[in-house]
Amino acid sequence: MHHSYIDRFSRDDTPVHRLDARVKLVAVLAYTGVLVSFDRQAVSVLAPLAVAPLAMLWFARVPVRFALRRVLLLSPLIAMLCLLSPLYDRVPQPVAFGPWRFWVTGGWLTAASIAIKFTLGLLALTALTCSTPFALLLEGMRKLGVPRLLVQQLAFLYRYIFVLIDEAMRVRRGRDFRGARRAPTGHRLKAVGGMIGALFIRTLDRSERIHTAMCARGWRGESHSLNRLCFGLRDAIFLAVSVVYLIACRYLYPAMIS
Amino acid sequence: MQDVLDIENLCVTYNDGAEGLRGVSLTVKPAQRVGLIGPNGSGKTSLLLAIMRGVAFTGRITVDGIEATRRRADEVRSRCGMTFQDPDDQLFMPTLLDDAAFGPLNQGCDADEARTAAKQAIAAVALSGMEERCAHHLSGGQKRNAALATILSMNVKLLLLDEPGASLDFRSRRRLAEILSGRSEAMLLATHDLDMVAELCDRVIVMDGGAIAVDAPTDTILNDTRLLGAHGLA
Repeated sequence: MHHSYIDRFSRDDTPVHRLDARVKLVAVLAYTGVLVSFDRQAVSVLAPLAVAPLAMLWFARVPVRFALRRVLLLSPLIAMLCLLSPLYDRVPQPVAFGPWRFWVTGGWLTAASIAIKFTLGLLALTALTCSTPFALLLEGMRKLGVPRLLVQQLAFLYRYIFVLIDEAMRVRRGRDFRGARRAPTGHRLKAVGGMIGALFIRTLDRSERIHTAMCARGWRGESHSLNRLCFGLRDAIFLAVSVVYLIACRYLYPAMIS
Repeated sequence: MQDVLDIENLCVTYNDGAEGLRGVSLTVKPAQRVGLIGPNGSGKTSLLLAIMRGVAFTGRITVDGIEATRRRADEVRSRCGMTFQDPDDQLFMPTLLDDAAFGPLNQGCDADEARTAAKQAIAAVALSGMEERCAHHLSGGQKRNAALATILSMNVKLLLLDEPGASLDFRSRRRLAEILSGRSEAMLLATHDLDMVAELCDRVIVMDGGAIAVDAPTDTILNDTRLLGAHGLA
């Protein structure tokens, strides 16, 4: 398993990639804030908010299909919520879609709103992670004042989650190669318990070795960075455009269509 | 000239009661390369860790004139660079450049100095162009070299290398030996690779059961097959 799973395409060189990580981070956070600030049954007013993530993905040369696949992968988390909404709110609501007028229950509107917000939010997040190397994103967080401990934990998670997954896969392979698939269920479950225990011990051991390695290179609890971020004119323009766009999405467009 | 490393009567006992080291004493002169050989569990890694104050010990360790007390551990560490058996333990930053700059930044270098030192170290281990890569995307040999770069970027007096050639193919081992032979720092090289020891070291210490069995010139030890056999090395 590889890191490209998280920040694939992030090493490209496009105008979006060249933007300061802090600016993109702030813009995506503000975007998410605006997205969730809409009413729980808002659907059509969310339409202009689709422009930003799609434009970012397009300019960053990230295939929309790739981003949508990622949304699909995480959708089970939200699918339950969407499916349960129609059961709780059965009050009919009038809906206008162009020349058509029809009635649906409030629950379906809530479900549609949740699904749209989830999709757009994840598309924006994908655009951010696919246009910014994770190391720069962490540096951006650090510079924006995100607690040092949290940033460090994210850095370690990014570095070691795949090492852990690879280790788990190797342990599983070791088990399967010795005929575990044919073993009775009880034996297999026992083996799984042993595997989890072994992985836990190995992780603890590794964390101790990493801590020793960090101390050996002079770490005293403070993290330093190489200052790779640089705020320039293009970042200021991007930030200004983002502010205007989000204000228009939140206040002007809803006023226009109401 | 002052010894870069001076150890007197070093003992390490682990929490489970196992004795890691028993009364080890040795000195290393500046620029001297010393091979540390011995069977598994003979105390090679414990010795390297004790020098970095990575394990609790009794006895006395002095690095470049500074005694490795708890209070002065950071000063001692800033004079030593250690690579670990598993490079994944050593490469913990998001990119190779960050990893190589980690030590210099902790030594008080500013960002530009640290970046320059990191890039030079990465170039020295022939990994130029991979600065922004994550360790997870490097091959086994590249990880070994990257781990080495993380200490070569630091300005240290003593290199402590724990199995630097383990799991490397012939070509990678040769390249590693070339890199190490070009260094001016004193070196303690813990390894099972007797060819590398013969090529790099002028002195060899044989460890067994947590103590020094023999400390002699490389030729004397590597030509004594009976001695090597007695300590499980041939």
